[in-house]
Amino acid sequence: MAAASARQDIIDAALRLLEDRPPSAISGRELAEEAGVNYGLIHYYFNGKQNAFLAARDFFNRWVVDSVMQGGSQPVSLSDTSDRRSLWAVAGHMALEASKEWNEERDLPVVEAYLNLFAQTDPSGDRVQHAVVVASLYALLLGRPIFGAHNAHSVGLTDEDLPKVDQRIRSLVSDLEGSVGLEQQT
Amino acid sequence: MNAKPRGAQQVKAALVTAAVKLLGQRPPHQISGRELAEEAGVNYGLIHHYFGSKDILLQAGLADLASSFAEGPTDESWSSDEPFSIRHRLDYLRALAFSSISGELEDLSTVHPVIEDSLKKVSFLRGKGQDPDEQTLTDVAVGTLFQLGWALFEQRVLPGFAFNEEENAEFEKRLRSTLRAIMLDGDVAKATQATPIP
Repeated sequence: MAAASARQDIIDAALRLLEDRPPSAISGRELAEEAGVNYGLIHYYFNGKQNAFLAARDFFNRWVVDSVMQGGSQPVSLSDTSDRRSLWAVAGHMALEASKEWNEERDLPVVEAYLNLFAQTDPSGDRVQHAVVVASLYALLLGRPIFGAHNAHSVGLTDEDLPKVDQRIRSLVSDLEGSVGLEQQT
Repeated sequence: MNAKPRGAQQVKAALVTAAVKLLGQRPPHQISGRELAEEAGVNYGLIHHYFGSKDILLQAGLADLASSFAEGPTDESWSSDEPFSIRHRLDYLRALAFSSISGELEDLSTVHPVIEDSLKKVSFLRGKGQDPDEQTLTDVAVGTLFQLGWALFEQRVLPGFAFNEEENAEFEKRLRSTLRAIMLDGDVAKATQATPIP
């Protein structure tokens, strides 16, 4: 097997498994099996399971910035998060990881990309406002696919009402983005 | 080590406690009956005996989380009807997130006394009386997922803002205004901005 691709195979496998559960609920053996590589290679490339997942997280965050946000030039949309399970389920399970090593790492490329974007579209704006908009976008765009359907049912709405929830979220996202000078995409 | 639970009441309570603990760690389908029994320190067969199935036990665990959240703490240091109150109960938030992501929440569904309460309040504040209209339902649904979504991601996102204490307090204040604007159909763009001194 080509060496470089085995490393990427492990990262891809980690991301597939993260759609289902958090890192702490995935064993090194499961990861090796999903990647179709020998267990020893996880140690060889990453010095253990924990670092393999950290590398997967890093890869994921770069992918969000480079691909979904087109190099940080556009915000994430509701259909980006709702339609792509890998995006919201992986982000959710990564946020749910409680291990110490995982939380010590302070690399936040997506938050940074957003703040840089707003610094360009709203150069005179204040940084607290930019942060409130970033926080609100995270809450809405990831809260919808993660909690949305169940949450809507619990207030008494049915699946047929979900388009109205989405419409409301889209309009909020648009107002929030507009408040920091982002042009509305159609 | 705790004494082995004995008698119906103790065994049931120990199993529900075990369910509550494991629901906060991973998705329901990743929790086996054997783990639940081991965590509770009881015989595996007792899950069937007292609950009928593992899923019914997990449902009881989720219901237990929901009702203890709604009640709030005994010292009343916070109340479930304040904004972002779910932050005080990350165990419940985690259990909701895990079962919701895996799509298992539909089968494990529970009543939400807190949501019912905020529906009444929002409806009242909008002058719609006790019977919320569709717009109110939608806005409360969005407001609730806003709180859940932020509570789940805030530890990930906040360090990126590198705020001092004062900025953090201002941030928190405006985030609450934003929530209020979502729930009451106010101006969210304005809510994110500094309030001019009157």
